Amino acid sequence: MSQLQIPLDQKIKAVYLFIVLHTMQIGVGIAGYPRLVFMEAGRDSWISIIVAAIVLHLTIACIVFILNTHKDTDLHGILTSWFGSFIGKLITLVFIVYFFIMFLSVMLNYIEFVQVFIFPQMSSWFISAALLTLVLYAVLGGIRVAVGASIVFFFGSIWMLGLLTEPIALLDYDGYFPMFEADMRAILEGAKITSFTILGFELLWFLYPYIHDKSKVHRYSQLAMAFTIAMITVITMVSIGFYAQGQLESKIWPLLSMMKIISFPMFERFDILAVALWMIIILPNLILLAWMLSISSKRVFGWKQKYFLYLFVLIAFICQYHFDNRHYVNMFTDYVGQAGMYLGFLFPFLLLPFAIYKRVKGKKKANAKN
Amino acid sequence: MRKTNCLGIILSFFILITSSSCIEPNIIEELGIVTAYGFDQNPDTQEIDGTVVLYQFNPDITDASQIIHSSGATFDTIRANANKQSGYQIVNGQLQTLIFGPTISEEGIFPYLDTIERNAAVSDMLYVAVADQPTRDLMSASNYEEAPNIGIYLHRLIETAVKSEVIVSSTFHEFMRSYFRVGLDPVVPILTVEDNKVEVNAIGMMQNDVLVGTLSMDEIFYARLLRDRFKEGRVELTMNLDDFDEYITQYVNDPRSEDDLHVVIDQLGSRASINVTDTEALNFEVDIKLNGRVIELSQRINLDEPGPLKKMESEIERQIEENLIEVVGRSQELGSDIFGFGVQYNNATRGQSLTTDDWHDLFPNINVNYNIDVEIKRFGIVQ
Repeated sequence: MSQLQIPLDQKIKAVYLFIVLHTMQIGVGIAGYPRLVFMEAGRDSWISIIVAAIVLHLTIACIVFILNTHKDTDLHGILTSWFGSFIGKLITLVFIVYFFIMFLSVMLNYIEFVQVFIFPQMSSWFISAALLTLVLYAVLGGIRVAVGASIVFFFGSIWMLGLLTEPIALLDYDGYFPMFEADMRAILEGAKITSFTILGFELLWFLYPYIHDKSKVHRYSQLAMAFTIAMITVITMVSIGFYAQGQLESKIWPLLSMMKIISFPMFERFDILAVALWMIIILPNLILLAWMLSISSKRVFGWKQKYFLYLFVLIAFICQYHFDNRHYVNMFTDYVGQAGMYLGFLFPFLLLPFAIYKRVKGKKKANAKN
Repeated sequence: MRKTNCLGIILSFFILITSSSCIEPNIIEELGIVTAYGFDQNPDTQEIDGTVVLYQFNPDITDASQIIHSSGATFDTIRANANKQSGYQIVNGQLQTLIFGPTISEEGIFPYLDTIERNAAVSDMLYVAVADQPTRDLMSASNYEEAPNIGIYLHRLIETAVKSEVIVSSTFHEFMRSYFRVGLDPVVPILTVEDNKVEVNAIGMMQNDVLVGTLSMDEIFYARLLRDRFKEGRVELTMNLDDFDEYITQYVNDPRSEDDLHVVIDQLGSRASINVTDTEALNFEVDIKLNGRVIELSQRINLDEPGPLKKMESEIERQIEENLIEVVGRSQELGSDIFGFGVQYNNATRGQSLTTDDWHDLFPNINVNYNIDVEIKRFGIVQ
């Protein structure tokens, strides 16, 4: 039960992890993140990011270590073989709920972008129907389509980072000083906020069995994390220099607001296009989350993956219909962040002792045989 | 696999068909696009009088612009009320200039800016300006060159001045940034009507969002010198001719004034830094490095020799220092720190949270020392 038999034609190369994990981490959160971290750590936000980055890299190392203990199985398989089927199913179920709320939070946040920036009259159900259709289509194609979509969308959106040169030209370097004013508490609060933004790497727990060359998993996951950290550092530092303190604190989405100043002769307002293009930033999130949700449900309950996919899409559609205002969007985002602290960062370290124990035991066995 | 493809195609067609009816269309010929707003406080009522400059994109109309006057308590009500007088739907998406009349700029303009920041449809790059007369009069000036309407003319006017480094840029974003930054006050261009044509004739020094004083076009140079960097600026200085007596190759009778020597420097590059030397005594030191070329001299002086060139440079340094002392002194009297001394003070006093009000109390008491270093790189194609 714990070993997954995955045919070779469904496996992906480890190098794709770089893009998949990175796109999972970068989503709607990044648009509002600079303000949130600034409100906690102020000009010293970069220290918070460094703190969060260290924790993140350690966490990834820990996850990969645990996964490497068993070849070819995911989190569910590992838990089942260590603690029995009941606990395995229970914890996987917790992850399913967590990923589902994350899925909803991404979708609701994006709907809000569209309504605030482009089409105030566009109904929420319509946007969610459009997104969910694409999600359905991609996930039904299997893991390779889901991963392929995130690669295409990654290259379709990464160039937007280059547009930051325009705000960079307007930076006010006085905004960065005086440095080192934030106290330890503020730095840690900022790091906590940062950790919410960089969630999404937990997908590795479930993607692992699908990786073809397992020896490279660690390298590419760490690279993906480093890339994400570099990206949010740049975005945060540009926001801090671009806006004065009170200004940054009042912008809900500093990143999108910064795009407001970009203008081309034939395209007056770039932020409109940016919000539209944001769809291809969040689609990989939604696709990979939906894939993970359906595949894990299949592992827990044993029905066909397809049925679970339809079910989740339907529930998501109904949920967005009910939670359609800023209050709920915030609430969901907070829940995901809180849960992510434990499930994303704490959980791997809880499993670590068991993994070490298993490895030591495994070695002893091997020695005994010899 | 084929089955899923089919499903996808059917669903995408469904979405294409439904999407065309989901969003309210904005047909450009039916829109009245606002390019500029002018605001005045009405002394009789509690309301604001707005002047709205509209523009229509319609090839059939020859005179595609109009000006509508409306009033209301809020910015958006003014827009809505203006719509009562127009068959076009009035939208703010192309707003380029916001002008406040004297009645508002003396009371504070910040309350009117909220909706600009809140509304995602409005660009952050519009210019904020202040008029020295009611905006209603200002915007009815009928000479606006070849621009389609006065709103676009105003935008071009300010933009040209900013690009040629004559005034300090005050886009909405920059205005808000200086407003929110502790220890820096915003500046705005001041518009006036001369011969039925609008011109920029000064910049206004603000204390927070209240206009407290103005700087003439000559004085703007000194504000900009400390606040910004010049890349290709220009300055005219008047010197005492006696100082250069020995160097003048051939004296020409100057009808402008007999004792003055006029020097114009252009291609001026500058780099200024404000440093705090003593936070207790509020002592500041300003280092300015300037370089440029002499483009006009009212008397022929041979600048090719080190003597007159050194003399010229040191005279320019002295002149600039004198003028700086005067301009900074005036802004201290008015309590408007448009140079950013407060920003540096705030940076130097770690751990002490300075507020804008604190700084406005301290600013009049600061002492500034200037170290100016001028380098004349070239002096044209004559000696």
